[in-house]
Amino acid sequence: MPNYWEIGEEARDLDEKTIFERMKIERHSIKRLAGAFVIYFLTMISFYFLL
Amino acid sequence: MELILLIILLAFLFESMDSSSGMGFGTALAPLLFLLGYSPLQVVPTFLISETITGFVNAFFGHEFKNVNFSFRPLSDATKLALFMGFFGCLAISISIFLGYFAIKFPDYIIKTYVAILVMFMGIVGFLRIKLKKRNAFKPRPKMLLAFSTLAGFNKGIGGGGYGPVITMGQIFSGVYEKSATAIVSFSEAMVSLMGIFTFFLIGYVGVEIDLFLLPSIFTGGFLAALAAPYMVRVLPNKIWKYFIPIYALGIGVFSLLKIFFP
Repeated sequence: MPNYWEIGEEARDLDEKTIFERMKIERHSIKRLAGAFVIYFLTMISFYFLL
Repeated sequence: MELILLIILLAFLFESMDSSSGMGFGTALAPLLFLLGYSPLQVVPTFLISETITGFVNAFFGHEFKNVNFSFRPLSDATKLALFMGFFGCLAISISIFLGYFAIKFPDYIIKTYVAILVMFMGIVGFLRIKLKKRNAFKPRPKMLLAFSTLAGFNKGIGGGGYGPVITMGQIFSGVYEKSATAIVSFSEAMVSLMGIFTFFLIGYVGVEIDLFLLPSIFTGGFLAALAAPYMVRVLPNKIWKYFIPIYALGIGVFSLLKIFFP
């Protein structure tokens, strides 16, 4: 293991910014959130048939 | 399939706390569900399935919202850490499930008291650390991390729980940034829960009946929380998590101790 690790580097940089800047979400993150909801609904449908 | 609003809300609340502080879902929600009349064989496998999915989702969005950097090619330090802790946890959970369901019992009372006191102690030390130590807070201490991973695995392996608090506080003591520590715990706990599912299904084959009635409700609350919590971690300043995590660990330790003495 090194004497320095990069864990949390990005988070620390982000913490330097204002809360309003941290609140902004990038477009690809919104798409991934939408994808997560699709996965949620597919999982629930599979529960409906399996349970 | 039935969705129960109360269970969804409870799962959402405790998964939000778990995803943002790295601990507490099992410790806090399981006793509540037992109080509501559900049995361990309804609760435990449901938790394992739900925690596997929500753990990976939380880790994914922790990366997406830049709380942590998980990469596999090349392996980032955070990924190495999650895999390392996941390995110890997987070993521990397999041992604990087999011991628990195949009649080999350790004195429950002593083990649970020891883990509760350890978690309380870590919470107090974590809190004092903020007050006393400002320099070298993020200097890596890999040997300490190895010790805490072994300790957390050992505790879980002997049936005492407390994996989340020990591993989260252990990371913070070892120099991991608070916001990243919680995402790394989620990733490693997802691996551990996946191993737990395999072990449970193995038991299922030798006659232990598993009831997944609660799964849709727990999963719904947990999943929504696993999406919301990484965003909350991103937006709120690290200073808040620095205080919140040890205080919550202390609370969980006190709650666990009370549960033992006033069941």
